[in-house]
Amino acid sequence: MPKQWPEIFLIIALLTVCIPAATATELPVHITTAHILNIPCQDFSAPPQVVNEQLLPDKWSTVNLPHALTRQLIPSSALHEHERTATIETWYRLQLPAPASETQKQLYIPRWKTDGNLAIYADGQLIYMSSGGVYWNGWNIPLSIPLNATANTSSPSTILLRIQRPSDSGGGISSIWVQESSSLNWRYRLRYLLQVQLPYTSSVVFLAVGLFSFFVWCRLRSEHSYLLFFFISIASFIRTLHYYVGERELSIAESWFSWLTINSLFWMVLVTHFFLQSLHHRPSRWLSALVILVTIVAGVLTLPMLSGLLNAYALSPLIYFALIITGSLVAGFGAYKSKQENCNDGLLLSGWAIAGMLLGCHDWLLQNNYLSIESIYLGPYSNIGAFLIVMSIIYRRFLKANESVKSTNASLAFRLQERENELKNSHQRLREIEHRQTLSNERQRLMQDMHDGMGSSLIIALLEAEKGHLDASSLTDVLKNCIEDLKLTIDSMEPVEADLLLLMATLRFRLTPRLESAGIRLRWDIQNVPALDWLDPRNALHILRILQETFSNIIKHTNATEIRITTSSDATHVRVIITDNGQGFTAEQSALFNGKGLKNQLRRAASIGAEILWHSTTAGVTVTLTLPIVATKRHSKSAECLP
Amino acid sequence: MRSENDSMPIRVILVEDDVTFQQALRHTFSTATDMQLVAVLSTRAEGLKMLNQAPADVLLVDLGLPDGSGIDVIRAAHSKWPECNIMVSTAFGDEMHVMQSLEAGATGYLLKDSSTASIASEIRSLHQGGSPISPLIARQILMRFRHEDTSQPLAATSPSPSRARLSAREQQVLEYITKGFNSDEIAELMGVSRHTVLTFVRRIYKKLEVSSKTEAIYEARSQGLLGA
Repeated sequence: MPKQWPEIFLIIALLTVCIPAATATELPVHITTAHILNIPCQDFSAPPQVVNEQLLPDKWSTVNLPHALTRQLIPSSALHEHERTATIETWYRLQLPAPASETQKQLYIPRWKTDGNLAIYADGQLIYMSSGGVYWNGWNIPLSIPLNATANTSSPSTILLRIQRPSDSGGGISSIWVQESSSLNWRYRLRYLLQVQLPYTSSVVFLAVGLFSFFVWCRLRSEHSYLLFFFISIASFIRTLHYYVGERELSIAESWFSWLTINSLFWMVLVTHFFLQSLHHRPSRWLSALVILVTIVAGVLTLPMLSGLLNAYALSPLIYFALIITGSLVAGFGAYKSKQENCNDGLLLSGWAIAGMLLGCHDWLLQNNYLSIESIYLGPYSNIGAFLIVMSIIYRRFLKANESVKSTNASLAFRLQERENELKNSHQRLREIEHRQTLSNERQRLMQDMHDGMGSSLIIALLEAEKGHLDASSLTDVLKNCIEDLKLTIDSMEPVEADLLLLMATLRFRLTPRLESAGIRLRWDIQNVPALDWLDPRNALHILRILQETFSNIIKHTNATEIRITTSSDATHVRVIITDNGQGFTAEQSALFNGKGLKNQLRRAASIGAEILWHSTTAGVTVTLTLPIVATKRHSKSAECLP
Repeated sequence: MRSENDSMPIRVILVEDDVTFQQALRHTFSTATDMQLVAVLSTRAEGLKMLNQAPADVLLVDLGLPDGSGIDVIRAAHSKWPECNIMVSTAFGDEMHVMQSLEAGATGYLLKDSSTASIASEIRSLHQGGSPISPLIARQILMRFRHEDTSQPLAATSPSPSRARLSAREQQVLEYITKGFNSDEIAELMGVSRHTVLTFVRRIYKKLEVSSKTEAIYEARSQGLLGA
């Protein structure tokens, strides 16, 4: 069965990939028997250009292809007796049937597997020789060699294969096909794909994912599993070189390359172990110690410097055996712990590791020629599995991160909304407080105003009335004054928009009936004045009251028949000048300054940063109210504290 | 007594629920022979019903009627009795309501605390085509028309006939009023008669009413309530 399954695989692949190959004109010749001849010798010699079959010892025996030369698992002690390497020259002789036509033929060798080198002769003429080193000679790369491509050559009847190998290495050769180039093409290509290209591309892709993982780790230093995965990908890449490198001579020492490819497997196992632990979070000290120990021991034992003592090449079957044991331990333990911890990723990865170990067993058997050498090395394909697993882990992490970002955003939006509402509420509260403050200030202002004006007038009138001193005309006066006071209070609340003249106009409009009934003419000689931006209702009322008081004084205390009002302004101040043609006030009347009316005027003027001056002559009194154009600090402060 | 005035007495109708003011007005009319108080009504419904009868010369309306706003009466009267001078009686400091009344078609207003003599003279002045105006109302009207100008910058270059606007002279009158000049002084400053100044004010009130009407139509159009 193991012998046939690659062919089954090829056929299935053929059906899907290479349908056009079915148009073969001549059936391929499948050679499954050969003659073999082994000649022991010393060291490696270059293959001769021409071989005369007759000159070779006639000790041929018949074998079936594929044919394996079993290797010694324990390196022979005789190996080190001489400085020279004991080698064996193995010859295979293939008899080709007479060709049906002289079309061009290809010799297709799915695998030749040995250390040392290979040379191929057609009817005694060299037609191919491997160009790699002893160990890295392209043994996993299928060969397709033209048989009669040169001019005037006919299809050969005998093919000789010369393999020169170290005496203690195994080797072997697959069955061989001879066919027209076109019909051989698909077999060769498919095998090339499976043995070379697929391992190569998959390991590169794996490395790319590893690099991605590394960059992720650079940003998320606490997530060690990304870094571990990066190491796995590197180890895997190095390991996979094993399968497709060597067609040409290597650029580094063969022994070091061997060391790298063998040890990379141990590194893979080591890193996989830590990766699994980071997944299931149940580290095991003894296992870690064991894996590290095994890795170090293997690394040391296989060091090229020690090849004098131990032959790394010869040791490799044993080393691989140790590897399979360690790897199985790691995989089994990881799977067990992951199951305990219900860690799906861990289970998946352990499963991959176990599968990798099975593939490793297969490859080990193949390596040591216990399986048909026509089989395909399966180790590289574990890359594909790892790639898919890690992709799925990253994919789920990405989805999870996406989800959490979404939910974070949602909660952020929610919190933002909360904050906004809080802000709105506190703003609302502030506005309410401000509003209450404004109302309270306004209430205080009006109360103060009523207390000073209307209230006191009414109380005085009430007292007089109680004493019986109040006649009808006095009562009328009191009430008229009160109503006038009230009107001015209300007028002060109209927005005058910094327009002093509008305020004065309103006052005139209110006072006209009283002045007319007192028989006083008003001369309105006003000029435009600049806007007073500080003219809010509170300040407007102060001005109205000052002017009202002035008019009242004139009406009550002088015999004026005319009042002249003028306005003027300079850069800083606006002046309102009220002049009457009464008799003025004498020194005794100056005592009026102690009177409540004039005191109030002074106080009101002070509270708006204004100045009021009286100038009295026998020709009348001039009252000058000087108002600042720009609010002074004094007035904005004092406005707060009316007595 | 009536021989002093050859013309017919001014026929006045009062729509007012305040009994005190009714009495004050009756008192005024008892002394003024050139005026006649034709009817006194105290509700909005009565006021509206009364409009089906012969028109008066002056209609004096209070806004706060027990069954609704006097504005309705003013508006109805303005359309049914176009020749009638409508006057709103108001408490002081009520400029908002005065503006509304002017927009509804009133051409004058009377402060309720005015003296008997001044009530009579206000009615006479109104009947003769003059209209009273306070500085604050002048200011509001100025702002109203200025606001319309700025809201329609295109109208400045191509004046729309449907929208009333103040003439330069009318605007000048309003500006003088906001500066405190009375009608005599304004007449002197502008070189016109006092009567002319009063009729300017009347025209301004009419424009205010027209303007508010077109504004309402404009609003309705822009909101799609009326077909274009």
